[in-house]
Amino acid sequence: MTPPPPSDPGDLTTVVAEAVGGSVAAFERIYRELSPAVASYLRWNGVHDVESLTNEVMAQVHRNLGRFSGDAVAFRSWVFTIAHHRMVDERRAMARRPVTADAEISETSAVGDAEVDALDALSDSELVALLDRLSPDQREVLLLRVVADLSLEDVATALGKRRGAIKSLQHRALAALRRHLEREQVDHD
Amino acid sequence: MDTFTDLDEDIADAVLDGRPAASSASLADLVDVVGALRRRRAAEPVPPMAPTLRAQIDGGQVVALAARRGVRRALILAAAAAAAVVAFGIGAAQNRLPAGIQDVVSSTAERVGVHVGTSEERGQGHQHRSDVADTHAQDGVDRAPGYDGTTPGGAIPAVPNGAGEPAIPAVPPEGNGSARLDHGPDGGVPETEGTVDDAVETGAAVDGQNESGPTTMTEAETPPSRGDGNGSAKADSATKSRPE
Repeated sequence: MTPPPPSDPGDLTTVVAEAVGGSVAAFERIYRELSPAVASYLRWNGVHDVESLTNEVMAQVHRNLGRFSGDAVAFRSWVFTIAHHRMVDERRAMARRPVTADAEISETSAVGDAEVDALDALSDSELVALLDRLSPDQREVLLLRVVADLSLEDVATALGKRRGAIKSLQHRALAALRRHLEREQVDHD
Repeated sequence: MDTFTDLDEDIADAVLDGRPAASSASLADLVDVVGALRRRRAAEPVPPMAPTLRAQIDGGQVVALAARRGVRRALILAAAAAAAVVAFGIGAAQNRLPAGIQDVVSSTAERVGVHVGTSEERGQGHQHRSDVADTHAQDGVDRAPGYDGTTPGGAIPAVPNGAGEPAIPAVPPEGNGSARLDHGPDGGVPETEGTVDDAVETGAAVDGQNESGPTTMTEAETPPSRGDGNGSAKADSATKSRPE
């Protein structure tokens, strides 16, 4: 199933209000629009069972819909806050379980589709290697800013940090990426 | 050492937002990374909806918070109203409401066939209650009118001190009988109607032992003292009053 084109935030605000009111169709549309971004965010964070955790995130979103009030931007931020917390829970659970070889492989497989990978200058494995250079905080901020498409303020809210701290983290993340890319360039030359 | 002087926090913010940065040529590598991540996100397929989520959505469990608040408020109001009705009912039944309210409640209750006293009946009620109060002893125990607080003859009836043990003989009717100690069912020193000091001062029997009265209790059968408060004092007094 291909992702739908991004909808107008004003339109999505109406859809969210309908979903809060109990509309099944409205929640299905929210699922179609936001679950791919949630899945991508979880995948680049190294979650193993992306589909399952994405469903859990959306199920919690549905359960807690009655508590939400705000527009589409706030809703998106709220969904990724839930996704972040579920991912942290998943990591804690994984830390208690032994790591298998299959789990290691799944981190670099099934990311995006082959066409995008072929056309891009960077392969999936190169992207994974780059993200692995970052600290967990830096990686989290970078993915929430780029993949989840959240603003500085929304990332700060989702992670429970101050805006200045997030700005500093994203700067250090990009600086670390750039340093690594320049080293690789020197090695190639 | 930071060699990335052209990458300040605002430029980093612009790169992540996808806005054109000031020195975008030197940031091409970073823009590529951010662009690659965005393209992967855009190409991410919609994950299949799990059956459990499908069932949850179809079950329609969403309840708006405003609706929940409304229900909660209604419940609180209903509980407060019920508490007020109960409080008024108890007050009215005991004829303790202010006169005006009591009369209104009384007349209203009469219409539905329930008799509730009016404020005028209150004085009679007080008179009746004072009569009843006279029948209460100072220790709060209900007694029949005319009770003088003493047992006939001031003697303790012979009560078996446990199975197979000899009965404690009745104490001769010396003293005024107002202070005495009975053996409780556990063999300990039970509560008394008077104080031990009274007993000592008046020469009343303590544990069936006084200067004139014989006892069949041996040292081993002496009830254990409670070790605190009056119980201890009672036992000590009993020991002191025991003839050598």
